[in-house]
Amino acid sequence: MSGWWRRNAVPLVATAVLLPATFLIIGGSEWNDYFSGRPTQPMTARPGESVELNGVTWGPASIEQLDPPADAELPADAVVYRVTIEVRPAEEAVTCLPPSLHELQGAQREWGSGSYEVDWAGGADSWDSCPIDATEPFTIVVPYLVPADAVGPFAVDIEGVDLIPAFPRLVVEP
Amino acid sequence: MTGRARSARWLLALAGCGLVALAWVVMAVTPSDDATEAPFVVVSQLGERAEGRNIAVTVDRVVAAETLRDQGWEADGDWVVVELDIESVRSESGVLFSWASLQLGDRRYQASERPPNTIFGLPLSTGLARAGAIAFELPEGTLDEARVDGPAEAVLSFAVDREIRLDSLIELTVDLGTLESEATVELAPEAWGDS
Repeated sequence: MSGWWRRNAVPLVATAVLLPATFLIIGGSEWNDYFSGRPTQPMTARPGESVELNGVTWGPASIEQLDPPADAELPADAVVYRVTIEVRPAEEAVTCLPPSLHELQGAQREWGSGSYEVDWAGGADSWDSCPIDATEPFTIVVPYLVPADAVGPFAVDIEGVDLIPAFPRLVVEP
Repeated sequence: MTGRARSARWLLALAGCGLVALAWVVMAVTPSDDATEAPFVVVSQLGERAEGRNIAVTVDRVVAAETLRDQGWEADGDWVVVELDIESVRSESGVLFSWASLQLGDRRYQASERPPNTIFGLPLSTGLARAGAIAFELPEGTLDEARVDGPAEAVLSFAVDREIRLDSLIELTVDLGTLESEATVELAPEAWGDS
């Protein structure tokens, strides 16, 4: 038997190397496609700080709790926050979606822009996402309707097709 | 044939039978192909909050009606109206109340899109419940048949996506034969609910 092992040592070693390598390369390529096609790499900025991505400066961002007007129809256990984000584009126009608000602790829940539910809470002349063809600095203002038991600090995640798989994550503390 | 050879042959026959029985057991307990992608069912009771991966539902009332009214809109038929509170649990981006179905026997009915103000299809909020109603329009005579012929179990199910495979599905079983019934039901208006 030992003779057989010795005679076939080269193919055996090749099989032992190539078989796992096949799985690693095919699997790795699939996972790479998966992770590079969606926002998976946060570029985190601490409260009051900004982060640079693709030459664009995202942040600083701030958050404030708003008092709803008397006639606003809101759930009893809800809080309205308004997030303001400064963006300084590079020479090329920048695009992004309305940012989402994430709990950094607890259940790590996520909220989208509440500009429909709490339309009074947005900025009057501001954007809740990147304006089209913006090359000058601009401000994104987004309201969020959040249950009162949500605890800060929160992360404001900004997604843009040009940014993927990276994305700016701006931490804000109410 | 010696005694030893005979007993060995019996032993082999017994082992063979045992293997056949084992094969039968394996076949019997093997999950079907559907089971590998079946939704995770959360069984709910009337008035009880049921929570899944990204959906929480409280069904407050299920009522049968001959006429359904919805702010000026009106239609006669065999209606089953479900009043409920619904919210998403983890995230709300692109999360809609997309699946509301009533399974009766081998037939499945989707919540009607005819009444203009049902909460079927509504965007959901994380941790903040929306309250309202959905309605199922069943073939004429279904409710009468259920009342006469006795138990007619219908399974109501709710999810946040039309694709329910491997996701949470909230289920509630009601008996259409003994369901509370009203001649006319006004659809409950959409409002914020109790989380």
